[in-house]
This record gives sequence, C-alpha cells and structure tokens, in this order.
Amino acid sequence: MLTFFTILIVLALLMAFRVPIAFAMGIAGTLGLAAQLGVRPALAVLERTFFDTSASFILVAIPLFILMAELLTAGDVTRRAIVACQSWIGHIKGGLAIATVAASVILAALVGSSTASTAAMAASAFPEMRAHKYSDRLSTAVVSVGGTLAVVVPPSIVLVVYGVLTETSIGKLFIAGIIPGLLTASGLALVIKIIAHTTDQAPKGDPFVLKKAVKDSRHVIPMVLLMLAVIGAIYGGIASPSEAAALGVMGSLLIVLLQGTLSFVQFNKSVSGAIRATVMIVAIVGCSAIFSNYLAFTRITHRMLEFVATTDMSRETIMAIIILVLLIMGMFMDQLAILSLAMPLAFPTAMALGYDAVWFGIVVTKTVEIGLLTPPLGLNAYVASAQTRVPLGTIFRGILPFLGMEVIVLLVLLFFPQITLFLPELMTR
Amino acid sequence: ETLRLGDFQSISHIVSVEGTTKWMAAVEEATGGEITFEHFPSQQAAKSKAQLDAVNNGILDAALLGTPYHADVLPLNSVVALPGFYGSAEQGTKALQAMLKDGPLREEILETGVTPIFGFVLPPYQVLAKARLGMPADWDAQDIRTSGSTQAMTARALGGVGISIPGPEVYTAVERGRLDAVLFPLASVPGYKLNEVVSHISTNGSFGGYSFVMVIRSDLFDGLSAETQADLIRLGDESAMHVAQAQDASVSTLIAEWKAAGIDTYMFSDEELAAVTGSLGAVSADWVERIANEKAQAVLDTYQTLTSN
Amino acid sequence: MLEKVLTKVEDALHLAGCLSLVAVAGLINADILLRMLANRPVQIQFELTELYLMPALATLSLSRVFRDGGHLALEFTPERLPGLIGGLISKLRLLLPAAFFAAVTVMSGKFAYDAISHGDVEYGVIDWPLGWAYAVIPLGCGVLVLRLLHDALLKSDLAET
Ligand code: NA
Ligand code: NA
Repeated sequence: MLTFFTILIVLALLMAFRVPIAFAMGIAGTLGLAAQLGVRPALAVLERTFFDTSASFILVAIPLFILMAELLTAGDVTRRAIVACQSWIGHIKGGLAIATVAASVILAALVGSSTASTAAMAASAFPEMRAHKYSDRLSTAVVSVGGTLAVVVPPSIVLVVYGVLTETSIGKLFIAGIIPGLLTASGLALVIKIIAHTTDQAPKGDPFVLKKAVKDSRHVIPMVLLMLAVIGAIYGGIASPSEAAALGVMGSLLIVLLQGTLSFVQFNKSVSGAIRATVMIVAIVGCSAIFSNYLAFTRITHRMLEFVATTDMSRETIMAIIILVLLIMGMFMDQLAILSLAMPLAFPTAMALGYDAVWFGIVVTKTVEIGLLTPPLGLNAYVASAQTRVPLGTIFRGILPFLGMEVIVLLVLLFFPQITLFLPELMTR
Repeated sequence: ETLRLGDFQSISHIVSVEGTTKWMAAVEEATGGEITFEHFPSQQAAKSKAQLDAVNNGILDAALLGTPYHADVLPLNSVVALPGFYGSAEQGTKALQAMLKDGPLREEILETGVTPIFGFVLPPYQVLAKARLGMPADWDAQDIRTSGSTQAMTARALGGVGISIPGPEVYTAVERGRLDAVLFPLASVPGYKLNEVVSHISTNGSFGGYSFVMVIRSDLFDGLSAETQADLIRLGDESAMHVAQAQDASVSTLIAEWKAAGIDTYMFSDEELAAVTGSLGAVSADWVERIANEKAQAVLDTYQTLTSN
Repeated sequence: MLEKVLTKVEDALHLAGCLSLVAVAGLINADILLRMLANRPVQIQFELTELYLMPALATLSLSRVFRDGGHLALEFTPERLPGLIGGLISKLRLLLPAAFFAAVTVMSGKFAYDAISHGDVEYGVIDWPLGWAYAVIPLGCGVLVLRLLHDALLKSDLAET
C-alpha cells in the first residue's frame, strides 16, 4: 500500500513538472512494476507493450477519422457546414455553440471513437467560434464534451467492448445508447444557453436573414452526402465500421478535390496533422497500458471490488461505490483499460444485485466517458488542446460546468432505468 | 508458494469456470495451501500474444496459453487448428492430452522454457450463416469470417473467401451483410450474440479446432516436490476432461435453445460431409508444407490416428 | 550539426509514418472496391495494416511530435522555476523520459532482434516476418531518446538565456 501511494506521488510530481502525460505514466508504471515484480520482469513488460498496443486493426479508425476530419477542415467543408447551421441559429446567444453540438450528434452517428470526434470538431468548429468572438474556454469545452457523444450514440467502440467482455447483446446496447446520447446533447445545449445568458463568452452572431440562410444551406449538402455514404456502407453491408472510416477518408478527398479547395501542400499538412494526433493518442494508450499493468499486479482494484461484493451493504450503496470507483479510475486511465480491469468483478456484482445488463452497460459507458473530461488524464481535453493549441488548464476550467451536467444526466440514468431500456424493450417486442 | 497465473479469457467464460478456476481451486485444496494462485484474467497481466513471454520473463509464473497466439514459436501445436479432425471437445482433448504427454508437441513447448501441465480444446468450429451451407457449390464466393491462416485456407478450400474481421466487429458485419458466414466455436456464439443475426448453424461439422495449454515456468516447476508436481498434473488431467465434457454438454444445450428459437440447427448429410472433408484435405497438405518442420508430417499422422476413433 | 542530422532523421521517419497512413487508407479502399467489383478482397490488407502499418504510423513520428511540442503535458505550474532546483527540474523533465525510452528501445530492440534472428513469422496469406514488424518500435523510440538527450544536454545554454 505504501509503494502504491509512493508511485501515485511520483506520477503526480512528474505531471506537475510538465513531463508529458504519456511519459509520466510510462515512468511511474515501470517503477511500480519494478517495485512489485522486480527489475527484470518490469523491463520485460517494455519488450512488446508498444507493439501490442499499436498493432490493432480496431485502432485504425482513429487515424482515419482524424484524417477525414483534417481533410474536411483543410478543404473548408466543415466550416461551410457550420456556417450554414449558423445562419439559421447563429443570431441567438450561444447559437454557434449549439450548432456545434448538433453537428457533434450527427458526427457521433458516424464515428465510434470519441477522440476522433473531438479532433474533427476541434479542427472545424473551434476556428469558427473563435472568429465569432466566443471565448476559447467555452469553445474548447463544447468540442471536448460534444466529442463524448460518439461513445454513447451508436456505433461505439466502448459499447462493443463492453458487450464482448460481459456477453451482453451489442445490438441492444447500440439501441439503448440513442436516448441517453440525445439526453446528453440536450443537457449540453442547456448549459450553453445558461452560460451564454450569464456571461459574455458566447456573443450573438450575425442577424438572421432567411434568404442567406436558405442560400447557405447548400453548403451542408457535401457533408450530408458523405454521412449517407458512410452510414450506407456500414448498414448496406459494404464495409465494417473500421473500414467505413477509410471510405470516409476517400469520400472527403473526393469532395475537396471536386470543390477544388485542397492543395497538395494542404493534403500533406492534413496527413501530418492526423499522424501527430495519432502518435500522441497511441503514446498515451501504450503508456497507460503499462500503468494499468502495474495496477493489475497491485490487486488494488480487485480488492476494492471484492470488498464491495462481499459486504452486506444495500444494493444502491454498492452501485454507488462501483460508479465512484469507475469515476476515480476514469481520472487516470483509458476507457478500454477501465473496462477490461473492472468489468470482470463489477459486472457479476451488478448482475448478482439484479440490475439489467444493458442498462448497466450504458451507465458504465456514460461513467467512463466522464473520465475523458477529467484531469489528469482527460483524453478529449488533450485532443482538443493538441488541435487548438489552447492550454489544457483553460479547457479543463471550461469543462467544469458541463461536468455538472454530465453528472446530472448520469444520475437521471441511474434513477430512471426506463429511459435507457425503453427502446431496446420496444425492439424485442 | 503463490503463483501468478495469466489468462486471456474472462472469468465468466466456460473455459475459465469449468477449467482454469476449477483447476486452481483443486490444486490449492490438494496441496493444502502449499500452492496458491493469483489469477489475472481478461489479459490484465499480459495481452493474449504476450502470455508465453510473460511467463518466461518472470512477469507471470503460469499461464493459460491460446496456442494460435503463439504459432510463431509453437508451429507444431497449430496442428489442432486443422479442419476435418476431432468431432467433439472430449475427443479432441483426449488426443491433445496424449500428444502433450510425450512427443514433438510437448518438446516444442518445453523448448520455450515452460512446462505443459494440461491441455484441452474448444468444441470443433461450425459454420454459422444466413443460408444453409452444405455441398461445396453452396460455399462458392461466400464471404466467410475466419481467424488465422488455417481457417482462411479452409474457407478457400471450400470455394469461399476468407475475411479477417476483428472479433468485436463480427456481429455488425454479419447483421449488415458484410459477411455471409462465420466459422466459430459454438460455445463462444452467445458471447458475441451471433445467434441473433444468423439463421443457420451447423452442428456436426469440423471446421478447425482451438487448443489451450496450461503452462508453468520450467525452472519453477522443476523446483517443486515430485508429489506436488504429480498433484498439479493429475488435477490437470481431471480438469481437462471435465472442461471438455462441460463444453460438449453446454453446446448441446445451446443447440436446443437455438432450435427452440427458430434457428435451423442442421446436421450435414453423409454425402455433404464426405464432399466437404474431401475439399479440406488440401488444408492439411498445405499446413505440412507451410510450417516447413521435419516433424510436421509425423505430428499430423499421429493426430489423424488419435482423432479417428 | 548534430541538431541538423537529428532533424533530418526525424523528418524522414515522420514521412514514413505519413506514407503508412496513406497506404492504410488506400489499401482498405482497394480492398472494399475489389470485393464489390470482383468479389476478390486484397487478402494481405488486414495483416499488412495490423502488423506493419499501424505500429509504424503510431510510433515512427514519436520524436518529431515531441520536437513540435505535440505530446501533451499539464500546464498548471510555471514553465521555468527559478534557481538551481528549477534548472535541475527542467533537466530531469527530459532525462527521466530519456531513461524510460532508452529502456523501451533496448528491450523492444532486443525483442525485435531475437525475432529476426529466430525467423519468427506470422502465418497468413503470406508468411509475415514478425521481427521487422517489431523493429519500428525501437526505431521510433530510439530517435526520441536522442532528441530528449539532445534537448537536455546541448540546448541547456539556450534555455538559460
Ligand atoms: Na458513435
Ligand atoms: Na480523466
């Protein structure tokens, strides 16, 4: 236990002294493993961790969706689409941020990875909001929080992994994610409205002109066509969700070439930008794998959850503890690492207490999704910062009010299971 | 002594419930606590492909290996993946256990620095599809999800196209018609909910196998008393048979459930079986050639003999 | 001089990473097209992507991304603390990661070397030599070590002015 806290302090110190988050987790994890298993086994972990983390076909969606976003952004497609939304609702306070949320929902229906979605919106919506004098703090928070919709609204990598780990119907999980996703989006819009009316972070845009709005709407067409093509490819049986990401890249390239809005230099910059973001994400995933490995060997999570399973507390208390533990894990770990570490004990516990597997899946997903927004490891904030170059501190401060909303949505889902289960039950009838 | 035991399966999987976990408990009891385990399921300690290295490096002391993950250093052990041999988990497990006691499969594992304690197999892979696949003509140009090279060859030998798709994506790929068929072990079907998206499931085919081997680091195992070693192996033999029989029973139950749910669970006719098995001979021939090991043919012959009764 | 060579190497590896990503996009699209038009997939696509292109595009640019300040760090504390301790910290900030990645480079390099000399293959549509797939990791991490050492030891006079 003493070693464990020492390692946590080392991690905190490294991060406080501006060692990149990935490197800090790698160093702390390796030191922990050395203390736990000995130096030789600790070094042996380094042999293949990075290869095993990166050699994964499922991960291919990350660079591809980022590249797609980069191309659409470099080729002016997303900006024009947001301009179109803006000419309809930009005149109201916070309208542009709400338009961004709407766009995030549509993107979430295409993308299963929340970092990819955040990267896309950060690259396209952020410059637009900045140009309209929205504060950096609000705009980066909106793209970070909007990005989390991608793992709740289907398709979703997190739901797939939960389904596989716990043998729960992936089809039902996907359907169950729809209403919680829309609920989150509405909550987001509400917080934006409140911020817009109480602060000067989200000024009014240009006045509403019907003719201009109608005319600008044509700019949405390419993006809608692309979405139809990608969704069509998945649902029409042409491509798997990962492969659809590659189709999306090709489609984006076609659009910007037809529009004549992409130079060779910009193409290079887009690919380079996608690599930059991917390298950063995979470094974090790889190093957090080392840290998770250390956590696994300490048996800390195992003991915590085992304690929960054997005590005579009420089922509500136990569920609350599970959620709390997941939230705390979310501060330090990648979503998929949390699932693989916690589900083997948390899932049987929840089932033994009589909770519904699909409902629990959505609640767990929502909980680990909040972890994407909390420091120190808040992947969405990192991606937004990488893309916009706004300091992390500013982004985390901006996220704070939205975090309150996320927790409220989570509580609503916890107390009213019908919200989640309504659609899947309708489907099986 | 407390052994750190790595496992890529989750503790809710039948292989863990009836095999790994049962064996660990039996060992702890029989040795009166002299041997205890710290279990790391679900790839917590090491990824599937890294389990063997982890035991070698002292990260773990023991591990349940999925041999297909280690085909690079255990090529001869991949004989179990070949299609057209064992017909039930019990039959396949008996054959594997015999080959792990003595001969090239055992030697190959010992060479990597670990000692095999016991091994068992999954029930044979079956074909799940949206149409009934029987005679070779039915298989023509079908997009079939396969995993690994042997299965890709299997699909090709039958006239289909072998397609690699990550496990978690199989469900949506079948649902949306990206795949026409899937080669899958029936015990794992509920885990991926494939019964929700297919209409036909074969029950007496043999489209390849999958073996698990429990290993302990050799220097550690050799340091145990002869009595403890014997306990580990005796209980291993019992666990292997038990998990094989439990899987066969579970598959029968699953088939009955699917039948009741309106899925066509079908047996190949003798004529179909003969035609399919005929086509699959090419896969074994290719395997012998591909792994280029002087013992390959002998291993294949032994395996053939052990699974043909 | 050293700076120039290092920068050249980083840029070359970054280019290789970029080309890997373009190759992934191209291969998957070719695979889908051929499947639709000729019912013949590009059989090598999956293994080539998973074993070679993904690790390459994820690790070859590690150093170049670090050079550009792309690896994110928390920025709550001031960049440069005053005094001797501040100088020490700004060195350790680079040297500790250098030690960590040096360990990764040595271990993963040895791992790749063993696989190459042992001739380990992944049996697929063709036999993929695994060692060469593993080799991109020590390559990407090794250059990052050089970059971290360079910035810690040779750029110090720059930082103090
Ligand atoms: Na989604
Ligand atoms: Na977090």
